[in-house]
Amino acid sequence: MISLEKSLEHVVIAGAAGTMGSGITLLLLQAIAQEELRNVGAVGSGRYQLIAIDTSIENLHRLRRFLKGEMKSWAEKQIIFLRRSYKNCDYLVSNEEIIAAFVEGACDNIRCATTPHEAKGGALFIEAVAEGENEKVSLLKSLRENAGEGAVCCSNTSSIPISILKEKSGWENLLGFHFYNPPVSKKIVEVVVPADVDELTIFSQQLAKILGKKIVPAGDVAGFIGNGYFIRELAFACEIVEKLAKTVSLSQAICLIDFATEKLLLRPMGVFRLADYIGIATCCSISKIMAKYLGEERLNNPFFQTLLESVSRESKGGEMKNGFFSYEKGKAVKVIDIAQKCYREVDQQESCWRKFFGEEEFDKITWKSLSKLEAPQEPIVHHFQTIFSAQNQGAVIAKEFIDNLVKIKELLLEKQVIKTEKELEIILKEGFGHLYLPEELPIAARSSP
Amino acid sequence: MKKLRKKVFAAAGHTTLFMGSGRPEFDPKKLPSLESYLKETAQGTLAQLHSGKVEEGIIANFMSGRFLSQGNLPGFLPFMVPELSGKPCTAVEGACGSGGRAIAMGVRSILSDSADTVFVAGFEMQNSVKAVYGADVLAGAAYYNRQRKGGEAYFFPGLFSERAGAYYDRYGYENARKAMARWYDTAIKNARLNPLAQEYYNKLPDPFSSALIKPDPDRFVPHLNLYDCSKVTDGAASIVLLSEEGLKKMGLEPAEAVEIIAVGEAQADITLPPEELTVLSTTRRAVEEALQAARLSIQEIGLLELHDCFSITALLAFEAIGAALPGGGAAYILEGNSSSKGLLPTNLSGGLSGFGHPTGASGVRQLVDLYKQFTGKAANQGEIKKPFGLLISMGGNDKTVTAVIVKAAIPAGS
Repeated sequence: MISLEKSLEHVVIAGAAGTMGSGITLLLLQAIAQEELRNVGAVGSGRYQLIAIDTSIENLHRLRRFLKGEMKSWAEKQIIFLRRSYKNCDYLVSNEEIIAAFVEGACDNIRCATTPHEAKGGALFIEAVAEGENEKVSLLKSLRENAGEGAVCCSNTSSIPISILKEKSGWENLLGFHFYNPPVSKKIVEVVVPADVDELTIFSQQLAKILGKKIVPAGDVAGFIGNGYFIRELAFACEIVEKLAKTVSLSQAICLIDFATEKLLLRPMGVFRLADYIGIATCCSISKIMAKYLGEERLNNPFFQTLLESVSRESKGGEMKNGFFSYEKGKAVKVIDIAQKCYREVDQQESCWRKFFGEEEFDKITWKSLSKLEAPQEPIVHHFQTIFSAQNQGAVIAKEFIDNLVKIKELLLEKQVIKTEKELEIILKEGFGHLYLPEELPIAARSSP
Repeated sequence: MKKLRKKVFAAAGHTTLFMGSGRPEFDPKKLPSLESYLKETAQGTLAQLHSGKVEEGIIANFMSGRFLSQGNLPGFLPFMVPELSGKPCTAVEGACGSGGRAIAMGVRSILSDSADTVFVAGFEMQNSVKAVYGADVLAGAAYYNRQRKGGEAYFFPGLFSERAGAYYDRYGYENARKAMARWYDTAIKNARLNPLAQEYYNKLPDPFSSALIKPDPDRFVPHLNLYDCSKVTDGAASIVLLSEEGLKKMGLEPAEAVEIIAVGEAQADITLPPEELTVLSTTRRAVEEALQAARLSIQEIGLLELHDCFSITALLAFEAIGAALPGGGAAYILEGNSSSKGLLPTNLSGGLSGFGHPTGASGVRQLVDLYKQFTGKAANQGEIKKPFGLLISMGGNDKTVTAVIVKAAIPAGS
């Protein structure tokens, strides 16, 4: 198997121009540039190349512009390091000249391609295409045909067991290296090394280090840790929506649960808006993969699967990221009405809201305000004590979500997706922005009203 | 300059708000325009004149050719003061000491009888470029061809970091760092009394403690932290210099002005390194010359505006002007001698650290602040016990220095 140092000389990223792919490409470009500076003393020497593969030439052009701009911003912040690195280049005097030379050299290392065949001889492959088993297997096979000897392939899959991908694609050195969104700023990566191959484990640790990421090791079980939690919670949320939709409209039920999971559970966003953020088509694919490989009743719930498919189908053609909600300037403005095949306003004045939430005001304490505090535990505990002492449907549902999260954790331990609770804690807090764990709430706060 | 052959006054000064990242309203994408700064300062000054017309104009600026791609700056004087159209107008450049040199030029015009009234302005707009690139522009105040390559990313902080490092080695680190932190603390507290200052809204609960953080060469420069440095600033200032005849022409009483009684100018060879890193020798020469011409000792100065581009510069300046012995600058500051109630109240305006440092404007701004303090017009009016004020305007790494001594028209206590 090739060493990481050597593999950085010929990196291939498939799906490079996608949402995740572009961030991953930027990370690798920065790492390669720093490696080249260390070893060669300048960037763009020709020794290193990064092949960015995507099916769309237009997107590849956009990717180039994005990378150039981001590399410039990065170089401006790293000017002290760059001046030291370029100290022997007499012709580069000012900060401006050094930054320009660095950016130009880094961009010279990029070659754009539309087919895997242009990646011949690649040493480190990163696959970051859309989440679909057949598509990934087909791509991985093509990449393997063009791989150099001892090449390593990292799949950004967030749900497909790596052993399945390995078996079907024929890759010898394949590991799961799942970045969180957005790849540049989120510090964690879920790493899955099938059969705990030592060489691959070491490779993944070295790769994580040069990318500035913290590894969270995950068992090779569909969904791994992140989706192992989230998709199960999404399925649970759909179960509650199904029950609620017997008394209110489906659209209202979606809004109520989304609002509850954001405001009552103090999350960055509600469960359905999070599904939209991840991408409703992606959630659809992941849920099918997990249902296929895990066989759990809730994941195979027809209402859950049908709802996701319907939302995915009806939201297509709208603004990017439309799903359960439609968005304007990043804000959810309307909720999907599947029956009418449209989006409509949500009436938060309807009586079902008061029945659900009581007269509680939700602006005093929010995820945003809490995340700025150094020690948010006390206001969080007080919040939940207030919630659980309320006699309304929202309080009951909030408690059910917390209990469900505890069950998910136990399931992940049982299936050896996580070895300890710590791994889930890191994913929840650093991947999903959770400010607390159920265990951190005092028993009294978790008891039923 | 030798003893002035006739009286020269300064009056009617106006400074614009000094804009930069310290102000909450700062938005690098919506900067006030050059024209607005120039017009505002000129109109503010002219509004204080009762009659007559200015006869000559001088404008100070360091690097608008790079920051704004704008040269031929004399052309902006008639824009600022329409009555200067058709009159002699000149631009002056001496890096961050441009303002001081512009004042000296204006004094020469009065002394030579070529004008009775001279409008002197200074401006700079540095926020038009990011700081990482602004560092390259400001490096033009040093010997760029020979010094830039080996310099720090943030070039001028790097030069004064070298001085700070030498000072720590020679006289001790702890006291020096405390004095520099105290300097910052005082600058902020003074700035909080000055609505025009960049640090007017500074909300640090404990500026002194903040300024004590250890310098980190991997993030900035080896011997200074960010609190040791004046911030990048946009702004303008202007004032009118007048002969006695000029005062009458403008309808001004002597009590509405300050008298410039001495100017000391010293120039060092930019291609040579400092004689000694712990000594501001050019500052010493300029101030000595001014004090000698005025026949004063430093102890007779009642108010000081010094060029604290960096906190270490302030510390070294007190030693250079003889207020403190070599190595005693730190103790001088820590003992409160430069505070508003100290032996030598200094930078009541906030100085470069607190008010801000638009490089071409600072020297003129300093004279405006001395004028305001001695005529009772300052926002943060101090209790000035002696009638003499001193400003020190420095360009580069102690290369181009102008010292100006003013005298209150009405002595303190009258």
